[in-house]
Amino acid sequence: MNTGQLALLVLLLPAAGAIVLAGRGWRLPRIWTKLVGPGVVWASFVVTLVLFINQASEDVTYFTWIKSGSFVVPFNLLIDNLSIFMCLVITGVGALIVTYAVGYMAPENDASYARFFTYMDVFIFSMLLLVLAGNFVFLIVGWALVGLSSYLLIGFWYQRRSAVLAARKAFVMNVIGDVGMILGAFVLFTTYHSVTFAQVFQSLTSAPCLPGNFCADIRPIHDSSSLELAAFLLLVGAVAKSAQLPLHTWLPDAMEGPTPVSALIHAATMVTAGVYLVGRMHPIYDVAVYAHAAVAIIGAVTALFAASIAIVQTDIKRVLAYSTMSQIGYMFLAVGVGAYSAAFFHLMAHAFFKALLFMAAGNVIHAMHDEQDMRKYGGLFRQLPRTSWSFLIGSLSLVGVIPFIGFFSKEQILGAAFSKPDDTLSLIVWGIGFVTALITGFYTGRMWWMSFAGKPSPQRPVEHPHEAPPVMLIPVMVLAVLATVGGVIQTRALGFGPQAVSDFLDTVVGKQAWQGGIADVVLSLVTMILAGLLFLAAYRFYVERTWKAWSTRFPWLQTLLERKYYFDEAYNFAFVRPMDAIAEGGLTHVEQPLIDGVVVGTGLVTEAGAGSLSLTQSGYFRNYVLVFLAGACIAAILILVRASS
Amino acid sequence: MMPLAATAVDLTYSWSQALADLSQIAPIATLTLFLLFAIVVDLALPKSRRGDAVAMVAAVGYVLSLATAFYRWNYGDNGPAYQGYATGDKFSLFFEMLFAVLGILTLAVSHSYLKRRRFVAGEFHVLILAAVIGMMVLASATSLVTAFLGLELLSISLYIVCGYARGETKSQESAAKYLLVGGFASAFVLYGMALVYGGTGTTLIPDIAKTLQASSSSNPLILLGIVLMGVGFAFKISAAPFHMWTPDVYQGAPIPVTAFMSVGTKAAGFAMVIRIFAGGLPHLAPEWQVLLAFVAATSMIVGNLMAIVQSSLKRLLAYSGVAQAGYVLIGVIAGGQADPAVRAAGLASVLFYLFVYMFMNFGAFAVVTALAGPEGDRDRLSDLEGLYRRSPLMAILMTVFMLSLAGFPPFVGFFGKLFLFTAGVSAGYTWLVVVAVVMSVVSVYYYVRVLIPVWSSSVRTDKLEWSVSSTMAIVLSGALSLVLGLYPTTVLIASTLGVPISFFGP
Amino acid sequence: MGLAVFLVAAAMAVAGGIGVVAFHEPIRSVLSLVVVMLALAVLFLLLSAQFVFVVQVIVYAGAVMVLFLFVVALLGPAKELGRGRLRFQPWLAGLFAAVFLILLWVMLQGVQYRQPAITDLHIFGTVQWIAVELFTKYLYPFELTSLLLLVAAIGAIYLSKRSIEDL
Repeated sequence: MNTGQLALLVLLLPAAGAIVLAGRGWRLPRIWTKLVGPGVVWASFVVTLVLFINQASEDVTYFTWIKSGSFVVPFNLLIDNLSIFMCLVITGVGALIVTYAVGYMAPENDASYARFFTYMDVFIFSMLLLVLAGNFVFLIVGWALVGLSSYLLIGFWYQRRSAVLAARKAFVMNVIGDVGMILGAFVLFTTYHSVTFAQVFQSLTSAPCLPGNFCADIRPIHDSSSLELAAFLLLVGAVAKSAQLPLHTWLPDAMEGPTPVSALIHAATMVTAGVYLVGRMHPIYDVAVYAHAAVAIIGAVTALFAASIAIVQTDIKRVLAYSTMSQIGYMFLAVGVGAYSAAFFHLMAHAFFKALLFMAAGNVIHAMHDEQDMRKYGGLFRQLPRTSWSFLIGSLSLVGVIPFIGFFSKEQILGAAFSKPDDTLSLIVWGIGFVTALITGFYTGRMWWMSFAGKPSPQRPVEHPHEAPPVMLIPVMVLAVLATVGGVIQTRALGFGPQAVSDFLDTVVGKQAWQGGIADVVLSLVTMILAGLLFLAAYRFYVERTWKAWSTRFPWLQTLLERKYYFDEAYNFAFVRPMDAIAEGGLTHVEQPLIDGVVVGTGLVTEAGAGSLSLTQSGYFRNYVLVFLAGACIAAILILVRASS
Repeated sequence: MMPLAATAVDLTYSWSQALADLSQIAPIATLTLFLLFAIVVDLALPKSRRGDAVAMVAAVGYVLSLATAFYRWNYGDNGPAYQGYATGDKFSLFFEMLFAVLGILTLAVSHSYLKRRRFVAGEFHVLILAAVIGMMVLASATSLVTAFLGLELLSISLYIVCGYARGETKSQESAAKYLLVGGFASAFVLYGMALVYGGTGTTLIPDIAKTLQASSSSNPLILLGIVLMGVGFAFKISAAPFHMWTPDVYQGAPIPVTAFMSVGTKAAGFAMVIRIFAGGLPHLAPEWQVLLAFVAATSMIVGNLMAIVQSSLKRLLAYSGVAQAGYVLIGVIAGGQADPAVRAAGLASVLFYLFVYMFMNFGAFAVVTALAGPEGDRDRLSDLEGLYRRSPLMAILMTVFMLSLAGFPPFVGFFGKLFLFTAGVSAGYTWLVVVAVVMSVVSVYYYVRVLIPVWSSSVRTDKLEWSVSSTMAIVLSGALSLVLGLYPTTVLIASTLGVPISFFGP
Repeated sequence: MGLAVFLVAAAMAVAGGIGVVAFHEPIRSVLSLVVVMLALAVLFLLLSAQFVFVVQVIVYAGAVMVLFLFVVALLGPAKELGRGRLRFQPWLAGLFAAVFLILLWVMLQGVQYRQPAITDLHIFGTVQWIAVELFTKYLYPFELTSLLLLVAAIGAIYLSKRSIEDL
């Protein structure tokens, strides 16, 4: 099979799985669901591996899908090192998560069990479409489908009102992002008259259109205002999907979904789509300097912001959600300063250790009979040794301790930001990133010590919890191993050794233009030591309680963080309530009195029995006529103005 | 007595000419024949069997009309008929096929509804047939006179079916309001047409274009005609601020009627707008584009904002229809550009959207139709509670319709909007497209709001009765909402072909 | 002379139209409508449309209005009640109507009038002329009108039947 067929196979396997499960899922024996659901993702992973081994790199056009005047949309998949890399992460980590779900979702009945795996396969398919798409239309289709399937997955337990509301919030936020994407694509289409990445990038980098040259109808490339506009609009999409400030509020609420969903959405796939987008569009961001700087600033601020909120969360999944936001912030920071391959290395590392953390947390939640409050855990280390060790590995990776993978990926980002020459902005974002790293150490420590160390909490729902079944433990352990030894493939943060990920991706995203020095390495080690110390310090705060809790000393800070900097309240005040007010106002002040909106049998009354109409009472249709006439006046004025101009 | 020869009129009307004329309007003629036949059947048969027999006649009529239109699309020599008062071009055939399909869908959904609510079926089907004929006449009209007659034929039939539930005050009120405001709007249209006739001396649309092309200065009569006709057209497609009747009439009318109207009048209205504005007044495009841009922006904003607070599904869908009219107008506006490519893309996008809008909007209404009980329509949002339990298939299809209306890929609504908006951007109306896109976001909020009760648990466990015919209609609509999204090419090509060459004239 | 007749007839038509909506008793409204019809008939005659003039007088002012009068008389002297919910509405309506009229007037500045297409008044407006036009040029609209009337008749029968069993 050639590259095009293989890529199509990668894409269609999960789709086929979803179709089978949607069609017959609940009628077939459960074993089929168990096999098909994860099976197709594994198969897709194997095919991706084949592509990887073949070193495939091609822009395959299958057929012209739409042709309408100058608007031509081919169905093409862009297979290069970046998309293969993303596919490997999505299908590899995704397959582990879907396998884990086989055990986690076991208490569900057959119908909803099949429904869950249908959604999961749809999600994987959408995500693959997003990264494989070779033009903006299919990118948007994949982008929106990812939003839709995450909506379905977050609202999976639709009996819970909170789940339905959380799903809707995520959907609306995502649609805001979709609109940004669509508008951005429009701007690019009107500027470059093409929707394929290849042609847009080519017109972007081709020689400028000088006076006297024949330039077809392509405008000069350095039309930087429209490029900036496009880049900012695409950034709106990226920010919404990756839960960055200020469109982040959906992500913590999305924890209402089942834990494997959280793992899939928050670790391997959906939230990293924004990073992928900026990476994929790097020719645009390299030119659009303001938008590019905005990416770095948004990333750095979100990293710090989310990490600080994570300190006060008590729900174990919410801590992980905020830590995800924070880590994605690092990736934005990296692509923002131009260290693309470092960002993607961290993306992969984060997929490993965050999926590990979520699934290990899922094991704990499972053992605790769906209790998610960390204050009610305590002392689990002895009783759930395997899960505890895995969680510790994930935590240390998140904190960034040698030799875990998180150290290498995060420190490479910070190193790149610190060493970027002649760039004050990079130094500032490095500073923010540095502080964030320390806070990360603290909140991770708090989470680990509160849950696993010390004595069992008196409110613990289960006295003697059981370790999870093998189908849930093995994926966790596989990821634990990857998070432990995965770092050896790229040890650039230490200043020597291999850099497999960067070598692989540099052909697509471009080589990082500068090299770090010895100062980076020293700073990396300092960061690690400080963060590690804070990790340990959390033990004194939250288990031994020998040190007075900081929150009693700064109660206002505690409140500020617990209310998440009042973002939800502000949005409610700034958007939701005015919208409701406008609409309600329209209803009560315009529609009802003026148009007699609610039909309550006013006006024209039927005489009983006779069935004839009598105009004994005046209908309020006259109000229609009034507005009609007003509209006609405006129309006449408009045309008069137009005609006389 | 004056000799007639002095008038120099040729009074011969040969058989071949008669046949040629008739074949150009074959889909309309077929349907009219079946309308007359249905009236006879209704009179001749005993009461108990009338309803089914008339429904059968109507069904055969729609299918034959669809087949005729399809045949002529592929093999017919399409051209003007009846001295230029009607035409059988691909534009009309496209709409004739659309309306025939709509007739079939309406018949399928209304048959069981009428039985459940114990309404007389015969007249209902006859009146819907008449309305469909009116729509077809409108789409194939190449003269202001014919267009007005088609408009009235369709409106009068609809006034009556809106009041079909004679025992219900709401239905009667809906009919009366529609009649009164409809008459007001018709007067505007007629006055406008009269002024255009006064300015050009002809009612034939192609001749109007020629006359205006020849005259250099812009005639105030025509400008005023544009204002008056534009206002009346905006009323027919229920665009703001001429939309006020829509929610009330939609809410009061029996649901199959609402479903039929929401798609049919809108499509017919757009056919008329395109024929007269894009076909007859292309030289005054900058003027009517301003008017339509104002109407489009108002519709999108008012429709979407008002839809948010509705608790009645009919009203919600009515306001959604107002907003959708605004989106479609963007394509019409693009259809006024001088650049033939932009023009074609704009008009084709309108045809495409109207075609697919039929399935998604009708489907949504059809699901609500099936909720109705013997005592009346159930169209509050809470009536949808637990639909997932009560009928999983319908819950899934309702989700498809809502997401498609919201413009969500891969459903067809997304691509429909994409084509409209692309055309709008290439026509230089970027500000309008920005409004449209932003308001689409708002619309997601209320379309998803409909889905919350659908997928929530409920104490209601009563099973819904779905008749075979209405289930088939809903499933077909749902399937097409998805399939046309995945593979829009065929319909898109048809939409492109449906834009007549004459519209590209200088 | 022609202008004077036109002005009188037009004023009567407008006054009659106002009367139709302004009177509260149906019988007066109907009689006002008769005035409108007659005034319009005069206008038709001014335009040399003799046949339409006759039809207007006989069919509309005669037959149809008599039918209206019968119906009103049969239903009894009902009085129209009603008060709008909005006090300012009449003023607003007046304002919009005035603005619209001004706009019409402004827009119609500088109209160029065409010469009539047919100047031979011996044939224009006669029965023969109309018959020829109706059955040649306007054949299609003519047939459509018959369909329109048929549908209106069906609807009227449906709506006016006392109960559904009568149908």
